[in-house]
Amino acid sequence: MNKKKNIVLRPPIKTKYVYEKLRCCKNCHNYTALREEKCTTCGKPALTSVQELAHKAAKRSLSSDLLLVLLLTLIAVVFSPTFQLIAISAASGIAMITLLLVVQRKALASRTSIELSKMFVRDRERITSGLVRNLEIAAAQENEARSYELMREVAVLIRNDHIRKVQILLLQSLVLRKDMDLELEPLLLADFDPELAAYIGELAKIKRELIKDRTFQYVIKYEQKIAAMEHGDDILAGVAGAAVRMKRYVLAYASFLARYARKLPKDRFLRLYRIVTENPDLNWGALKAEAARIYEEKYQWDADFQQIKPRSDIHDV
Amino acid sequence: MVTYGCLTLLFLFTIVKSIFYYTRKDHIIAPEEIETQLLQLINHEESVP
Repeated sequence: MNKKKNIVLRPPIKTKYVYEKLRCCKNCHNYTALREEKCTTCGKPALTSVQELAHKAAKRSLSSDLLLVLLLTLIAVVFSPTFQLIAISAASGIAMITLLLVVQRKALASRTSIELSKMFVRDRERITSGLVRNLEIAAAQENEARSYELMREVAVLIRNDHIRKVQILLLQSLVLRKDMDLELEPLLLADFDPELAAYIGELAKIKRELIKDRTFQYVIKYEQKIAAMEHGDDILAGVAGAAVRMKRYVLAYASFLARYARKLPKDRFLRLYRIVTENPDLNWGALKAEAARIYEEKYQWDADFQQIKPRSDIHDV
Repeated sequence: MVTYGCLTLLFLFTIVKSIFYYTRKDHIIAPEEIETQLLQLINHEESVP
């Protein structure tokens, strides 16, 4: 039997855009998405962000125009037969360089974005092989938490079920806690996976706010397979409990909730019952009758249920 | 003659380039578009071990 390890999971490094994670070595031109200080290929501390490289490339392409203008000015000055023509050539050169500088400054942002786009197209294979190397580094870690942390950085860029499955396996080898920076929707797979179902079940207990539409749809799609798992009913009841967070979820997944309402703990059922009771005009389907039946059977004399009054503002909890 | 030729080239080149840069100064590729492009490029032909 596998024993789960109690290791702290560090929060991910968040960037506004995923390409901001990429860095390129100025020495060997290999890419990485990890936060290492030295390039893992050549060992030199020459890693630079792709935005910086694109900015430099844009400046370089603009400065070549300036050099040509400067060269033409110098030739004009050198070959000028009179002092007056020298002055005219020099003044013209200075005026043209100033004009070009002003216009180029305005165009720098545009050029940088174009250079960045060109860089990704040109270096596609280098980027891919750099990310594969990153995955190998992540897989080689002995500590499961560190391995997951590194893999999470790469998984932001490489998106496939193989990496997601490895991530889920790594997460399932750890003791998950509420204070950990966990994720769920990016890990959802196209096919059924018992490890993923178990992970969803754990999140339903410790971080139910991570369970959203795509997860509900996944669980409903593979409901029979999850139910056949050991503790599968607990997972489904946990997910049903997470759906009770919002009226919208209750309404959208009413038939799923009707099947598992009986297994909900008291606080979750109280919330479900309140939502259904206070919104009698909505189409709850079988859920309304099921909630009333459970109420009659289990909570009819419960003091908490006596306080339910019609109300419209139901907030997330 | 060389001076006149250079000055003509200087003016023509600067004006053409200035117009080019000025008209394209707002043609910035949105970061979201670059992000989508990168993800498509990487995930189109990735070779994960």
